[in-house]
Amino acid sequence: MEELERRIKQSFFNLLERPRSPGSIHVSALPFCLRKEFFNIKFNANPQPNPAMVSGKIYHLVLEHLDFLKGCRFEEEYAYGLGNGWWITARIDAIDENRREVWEFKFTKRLSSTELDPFYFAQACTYAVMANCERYFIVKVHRDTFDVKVLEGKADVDVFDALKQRALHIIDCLENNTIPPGPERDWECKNCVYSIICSNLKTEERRMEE
Amino acid sequence: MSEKVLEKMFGKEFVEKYRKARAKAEKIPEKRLEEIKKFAVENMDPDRFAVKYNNLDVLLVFAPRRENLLEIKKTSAGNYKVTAVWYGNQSLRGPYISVFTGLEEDAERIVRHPEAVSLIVGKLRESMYEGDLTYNFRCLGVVPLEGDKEEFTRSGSEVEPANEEEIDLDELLEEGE
Repeated sequence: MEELERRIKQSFFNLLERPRSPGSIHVSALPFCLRKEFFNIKFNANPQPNPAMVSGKIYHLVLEHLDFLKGCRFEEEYAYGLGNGWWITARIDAIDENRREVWEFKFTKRLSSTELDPFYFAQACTYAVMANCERYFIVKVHRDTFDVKVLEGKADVDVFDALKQRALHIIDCLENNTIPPGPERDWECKNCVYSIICSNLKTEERRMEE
Repeated sequence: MSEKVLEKMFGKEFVEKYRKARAKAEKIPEKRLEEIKKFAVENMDPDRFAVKYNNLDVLLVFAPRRENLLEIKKTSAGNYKVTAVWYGNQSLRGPYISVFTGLEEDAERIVRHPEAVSLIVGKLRESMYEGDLTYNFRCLGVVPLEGDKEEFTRSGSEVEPANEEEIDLDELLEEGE
């Protein structure tokens, strides 16, 4: 029975199995630690799925059944070429081509997050630019109560360009075998699989300074 | 979050757009404000000039009497700050409260004219500053009350006018955002 239980649990986690395409840099990773995405690409690693990611995936699977999103296309993939085999890639939750709108859903226990919401906002803005849409919506849905908060914005090429520059920085480091800087916010190191490498790098840097 | 990081990454314009979108998302819809108004009329605590509505605080406030105190200030975090008079305030410094709104139109509603009466809906924060209580209010909705003042004031008692000379002390308050 134990083995059966393990297999059932694992099958939920398998929902997230998505091999990384060569040369692909995800939009969703770009507002965050460049070094982390650098290592992900370098080691061809996918983020380790956790239970929150699994339940998020399950919620996303029902989006196409919502009458509110009738007429939308779901999980559409977009890619923007950066040359030399490198791409910025995006998978958009829902896109309404007639209304030229992009819908990005976040299932969460916190309807408002001052830390993450601005980056979700930038992420959806970039999706809208990539899909040639005019408007975008971040829909935050409370996992337990289904209360909803919606942030709305207009596509802005400058935001796309800002994230593109970050992608180019990662590529430059990959091609020249240098390491990009760590995160702009310390909390990103919490639970990061690469934190042991970064802490060793910091120790090394300190030693060099002395 | 660090506004500086966001500004460095995407520029000032984006930060401003995000703030506006957030304020719009957080704003309590007019229909719900109407419900809150009805609830507040029936349940207002006459000693505190306040009532709890679900997880929100509802305060009865007045715009200051003096024209020069009706100023709307933009904070470094991109919100709008006004000073209001709240008689439920227990501070020794006087009945003032700093009210922060995400949308300029809400700030304008609160100080639309001297002694304008409003219900403000949002989150009340209480803290100690130099041994005295201070308050600030994160406002998510405003219900202007014109001619309804009597509904909320203690029956038969007049509300004492605020000592507006003490207002400068209010500037010492931290914004608490």
